[in-house]
Amino acid sequence: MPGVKDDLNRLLGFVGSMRFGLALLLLIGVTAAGAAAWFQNGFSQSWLFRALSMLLILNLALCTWRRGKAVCLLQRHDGRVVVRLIALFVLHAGFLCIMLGFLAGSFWGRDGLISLSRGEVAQASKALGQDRTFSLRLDDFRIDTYPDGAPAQYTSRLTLLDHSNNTGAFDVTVNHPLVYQGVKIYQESYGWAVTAVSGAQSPMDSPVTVKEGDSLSIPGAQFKIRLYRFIPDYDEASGMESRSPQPRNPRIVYSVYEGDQLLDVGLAKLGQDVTINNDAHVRFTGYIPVSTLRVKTDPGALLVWIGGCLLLLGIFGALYQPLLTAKRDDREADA
Amino acid sequence: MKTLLQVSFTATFILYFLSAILYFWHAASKRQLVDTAARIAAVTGWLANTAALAMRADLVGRLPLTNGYEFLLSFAWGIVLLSLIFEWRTKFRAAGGFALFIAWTLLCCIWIFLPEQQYSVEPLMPALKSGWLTVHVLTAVVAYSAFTLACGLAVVYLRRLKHSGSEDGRFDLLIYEAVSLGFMMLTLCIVTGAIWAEKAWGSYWSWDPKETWSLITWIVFGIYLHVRRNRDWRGQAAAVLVIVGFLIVLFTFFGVNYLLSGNHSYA
Repeated sequence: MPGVKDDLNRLLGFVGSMRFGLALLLLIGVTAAGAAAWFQNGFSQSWLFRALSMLLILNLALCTWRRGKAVCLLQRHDGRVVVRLIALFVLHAGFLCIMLGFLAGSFWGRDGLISLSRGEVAQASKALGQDRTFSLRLDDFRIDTYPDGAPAQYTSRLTLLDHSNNTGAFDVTVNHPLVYQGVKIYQESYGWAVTAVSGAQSPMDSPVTVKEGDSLSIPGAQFKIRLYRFIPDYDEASGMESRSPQPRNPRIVYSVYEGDQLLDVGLAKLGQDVTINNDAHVRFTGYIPVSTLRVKTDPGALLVWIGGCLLLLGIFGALYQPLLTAKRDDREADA
Repeated sequence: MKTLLQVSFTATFILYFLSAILYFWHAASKRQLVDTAARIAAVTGWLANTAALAMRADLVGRLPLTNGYEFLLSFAWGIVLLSLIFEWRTKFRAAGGFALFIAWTLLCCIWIFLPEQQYSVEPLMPALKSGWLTVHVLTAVVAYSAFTLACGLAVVYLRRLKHSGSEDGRFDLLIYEAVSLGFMMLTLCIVTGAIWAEKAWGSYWSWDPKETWSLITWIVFGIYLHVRRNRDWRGQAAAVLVIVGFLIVLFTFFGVNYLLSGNHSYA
């Protein structure tokens, strides 16, 4: 079947060609820019990105193979040529590793958010959707501030509970994630939860904790109250934006629902009675900070880091020569 | 300190403009005296720029690399430093006028769009408190400066080609050198940025507009290096590609920072 073999070779030659690779790269860049402008997130999960990535991986694999063969077949021992060819091989191999790692992460990586108030426990497996044996308990959450009140650092003190064994306390801050069993735990953000009492005739039920975005069903009534936002330092001029992260003048923005129907939206102070249709009552009695943690696994990350190192090594190896051969006669000879 | 900073900034602004004018005059007249004056103005302006950066560093208590004002001041500093080193190494003065003009334009942008940032001292947000910030931004400064220089050479090359019609092989090689330096530094910038983003946000690549446009810049200059190396495109076509690449660099900084929102909105 010489005809089929020739066709296959021609196809592989085209897929592994520099022009095809550059066109794919440009296409990925342009579609990513379009996606960033119009859709914001999720480009790396799209079928288009995955299809283009797989084609690029094929192109890079063929290109790396070709360059590897060229290195093996080197006859001449001209130092500059050898360094350059090896560097180009390493560069393309590095880029291949990055793409493989990135694609592995987009297929098999898991990512989730956990919001915890002080003392609360959450299972890592729930956030990740993967089988994990440990849970996280938030022992403390601290916001360090600058003199002007701006946040300087967020610190979550966590205890990892693994099969009821206490593994000890760890501090997780921005820029300093914690790694346990291949799971990385990051300080993502923070929010607030409020305690509230509610009831049909008067706010007399026992206190319940509600986080931002969560709802509270009022016992004995058909209403639900949703905690839309907690504003720690309210100022009329700033509206929904807090003047500082410190709870100096707290307000609660809530919405009232009957079934799925929105009935009312309001702003309440702590301790203020909120009456709904003269039928139900709610009183917000206190607040606690909530730490939001990101838990993540990425099976492709190691490959990406190895690829990054190889890419840098290859680029510096391939491009350092024009920077070193600055002599005019050299340049003119090259030109 | 604020008065001294204002004096240094104004001196830089005036000297860069003067130097750019003198460089252009020298290109037209070829007078040795004008050439010397252009270089003296450039070196003095660069010293004033260095003093402004040092005073800003003293004012904020760290390297001035975090907000738009600090980056533009560092970018102008990097362009002029690289241009002077390049001139000293190659004895080739063709791109000096363009480089100084771009540096002056960046200072104009500070004056027009960011005057409130000149003396304001904003504390660093938690994500920016990382050693990776310094490496990431410094490599961006060197990369962008090298691309500016390459673009300057490409513009002068195309202009000479149009007027004289003869090819000058030196330009092609010098543009290649500048792009090579810029490409190495941009790669380092992207890799260090990815390491930092992984530590701060839990994702080494999140298709943030700045990341995406940096990747597009990297791809465009990668294409330039490929096609030039394979001798498909040299001379005029390659010079046009370098200018397109530089326009994308400008969009990556100005367009992305001020038109699109993302993780780099503070920059």
